Amino acid sequence: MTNAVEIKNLSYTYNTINALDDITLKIKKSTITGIIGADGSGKTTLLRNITGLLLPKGGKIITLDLNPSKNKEKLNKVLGYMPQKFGLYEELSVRENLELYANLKEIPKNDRKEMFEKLYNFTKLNPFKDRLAGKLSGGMKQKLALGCALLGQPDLLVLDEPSVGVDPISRKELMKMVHELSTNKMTTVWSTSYMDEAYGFDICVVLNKGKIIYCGTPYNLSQTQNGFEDKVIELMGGYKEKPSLIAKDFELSENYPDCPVKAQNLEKKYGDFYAVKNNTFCIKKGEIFGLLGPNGAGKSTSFKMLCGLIKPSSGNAYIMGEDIVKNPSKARSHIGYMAQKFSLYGELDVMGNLVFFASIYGLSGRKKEEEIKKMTEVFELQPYLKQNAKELSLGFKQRLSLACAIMHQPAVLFLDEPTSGVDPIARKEFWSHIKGLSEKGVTVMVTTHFMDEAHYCNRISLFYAGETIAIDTPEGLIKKANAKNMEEAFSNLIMETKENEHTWRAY
Amino acid sequence: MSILGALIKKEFFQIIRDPSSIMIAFVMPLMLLVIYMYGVNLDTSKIKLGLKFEDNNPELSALMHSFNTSKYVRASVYDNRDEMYKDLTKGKINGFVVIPNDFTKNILNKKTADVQIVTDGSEVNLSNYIKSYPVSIIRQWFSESAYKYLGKKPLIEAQIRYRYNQDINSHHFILPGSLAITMTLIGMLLTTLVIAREWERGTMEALLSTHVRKIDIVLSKYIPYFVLGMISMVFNVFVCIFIFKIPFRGNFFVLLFVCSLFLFSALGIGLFISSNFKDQFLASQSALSIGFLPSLLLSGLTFPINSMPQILQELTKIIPTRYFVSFIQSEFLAGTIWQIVFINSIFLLILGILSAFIVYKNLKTRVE
Repeated sequence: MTNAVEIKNLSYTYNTINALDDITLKIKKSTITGIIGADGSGKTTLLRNITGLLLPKGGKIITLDLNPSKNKEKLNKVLGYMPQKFGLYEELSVRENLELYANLKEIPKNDRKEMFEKLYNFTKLNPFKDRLAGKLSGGMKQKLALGCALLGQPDLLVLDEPSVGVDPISRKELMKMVHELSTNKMTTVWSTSYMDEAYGFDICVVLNKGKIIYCGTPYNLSQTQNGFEDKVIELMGGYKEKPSLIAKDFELSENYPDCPVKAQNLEKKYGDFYAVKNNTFCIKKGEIFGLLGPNGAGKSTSFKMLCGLIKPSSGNAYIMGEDIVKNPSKARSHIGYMAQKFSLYGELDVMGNLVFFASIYGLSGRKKEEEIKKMTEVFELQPYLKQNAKELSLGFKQRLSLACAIMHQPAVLFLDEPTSGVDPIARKEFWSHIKGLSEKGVTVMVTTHFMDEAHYCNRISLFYAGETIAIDTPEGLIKKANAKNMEEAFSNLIMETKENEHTWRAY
Repeated sequence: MSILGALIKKEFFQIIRDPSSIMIAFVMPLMLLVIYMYGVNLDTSKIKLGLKFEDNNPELSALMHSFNTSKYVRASVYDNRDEMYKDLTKGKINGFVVIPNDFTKNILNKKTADVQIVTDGSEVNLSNYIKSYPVSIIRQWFSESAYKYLGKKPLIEAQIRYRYNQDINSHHFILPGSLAITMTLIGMLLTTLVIAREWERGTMEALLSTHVRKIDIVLSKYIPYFVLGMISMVFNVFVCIFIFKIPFRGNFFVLLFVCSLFLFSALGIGLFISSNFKDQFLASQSALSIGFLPSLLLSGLTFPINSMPQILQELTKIIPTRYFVSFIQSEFLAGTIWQIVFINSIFLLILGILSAFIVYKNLKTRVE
């Protein structure tokens, strides 16, 4: 057989929502197939059906000549699967995780040593063998999880958004790992929301609302990466630049100081390790200030300090003139904060979350109803209002989080990776809201791992190992690094710093 | 290493590195034992009693003396009835006794002499004591007083002896019983979290895509927590016997054997609860409400089973703690009685096998 996976008229419904709607698909052996698509378009559901973790409600699947509904145990022996939440044991060290999965896949003892060495080298986890998986940075976790999935050289490797929230350098390394560690006979199915990644696959499958709207080589769609992204967006229904509804009737009621966000020698120390070191900056009114850097550089720690969620070891910061050390709650009242980790109430439905956050931010009566209605409309939450937040797909979780963060019209907006796991159209819409709000005078500080998004920022601070290594406009940074684009500038500047340091550090 | 071995090793690493399971296994039982030892006491302390003697016969001073020196009563003498009622309402005294002014006169005339006892009925147990203590004090006084030849001798007199627990010290049966409760809590709390945790962190999804069989997952959850539970049990028994000095008249091997059967069934119930949830919080809440509370209330430790309504009595039959309480109390106080050991073991074994079977059937191997 030449096909690794054959799907015929597959459908899957979930709480009356058609997650997969009559899908027919063949995945060729020895290829890397990318599954891309809008948020909630059924990517994860499709992958789970292929691996037999979900049973189809209609239609037929044959994975590697086996029926996943009946022969799951046989299928597991030739399958490598990396779930969205990685599946690592946080209390176990890197080595122990690898050994556990090697045992669970019954890999003979003799083959292990060589295989482990190869994986350690590829993941660059050699110095961290004995570190607990829970203490690794996001990028490292992902590499380790991929390593675990690759153990035993499976015939089919299934990766569910392995690169969400991973910095560009680590993403390249992940891709390289798959390319070089996969054998000729291995088939890879990889779901992603990064278009640059999808462009590098042999075949890409575009899903929309549970249906396949394109299946073929990315090259056939467009000859350039940017063109490819535009084409995919067009297939998904197109994006029209329109003024942000949220920004339209946004009004700032507060008096503005020159620097709504000001940090002075901000520092956070854990033991003798600096998470953030001597950071000073001032973000001007209406500015979009981007914080870029690899995973574990200290971006989230900076956010949490500025929000008054953790206390700085030394130094201070001011939000709208309020001291974050002395008056953290007063400073916080000016902020809308979207955390990196999903921090809404999973047990409440979407409507419940909206109502709750509107209420704790002090909205009431007609104003509250209007805001909730607006958010529902803008972020297309209508079909999901009755669904529990924890059951939402990744992209919709992000939409809901952003909605809850801006509902009370804050003067300062802190967004920690708002667009991670969000589809390309929604990403453009997110940014149109952010831009719109900044034009109205809202001060925004944002992190992202999408280098194309860096261009939306007025100024960028490049963060590495707890320190600012460069601060400039996007164009300025590219020039400084002698690079063609932002992505190159990012890796050039980081590598330069790394080499200067001589010692390679994880954080 | 086999798959099962690898899973068990992993589970042990998680236990050692996650302080909460160590807390559940060792710190929590110690706390509970201390509470049961020093906090829970079913023996009444001295009751506060008001006294009013309207009869001024000098013979009664001996009666007054008996009240004042009794182990069970703290008496205060009043002159005024109204004041006594007020103090009873305020809770200063639990009840009072009035000796009327014709008391000795009636005895001398061989008529029935009345005594009035008023108690605070809002505390039923206590008012029972208040009813009986003054009566026995007055009887005692009467049999030793100058009037003793005036009354008739009772035809029957009971000689009471408390076997197995000579000094009716309630600790001697509460503490072994509380061991059963503690072990229930440990058995259920430890295991309710572990399957739910795998789902919550997404590791179950990864596990289910490896060569792991269902039976491996089930056994890898039983074995480590069984070992941990047994260690905790030995620790608790040690604390009871050597630190709290509870007399132990049974056999350690029998105790360990029945204990292991009990733990097997308690873990089974915990795992059954856990296998139904994909969320640790919900799992632990339901462990408390549908696992632990019924065990506490229906095990027969605090409330006797045969005074429960029929339906509840039937319900207690599926609660492993019931059998263990009955066994451990007799093992501690009366020594090994093979009949009791045998019958309880059989029931625990049946419950254990039944719950293990349900856990196996109930464990989901797919995401939905």
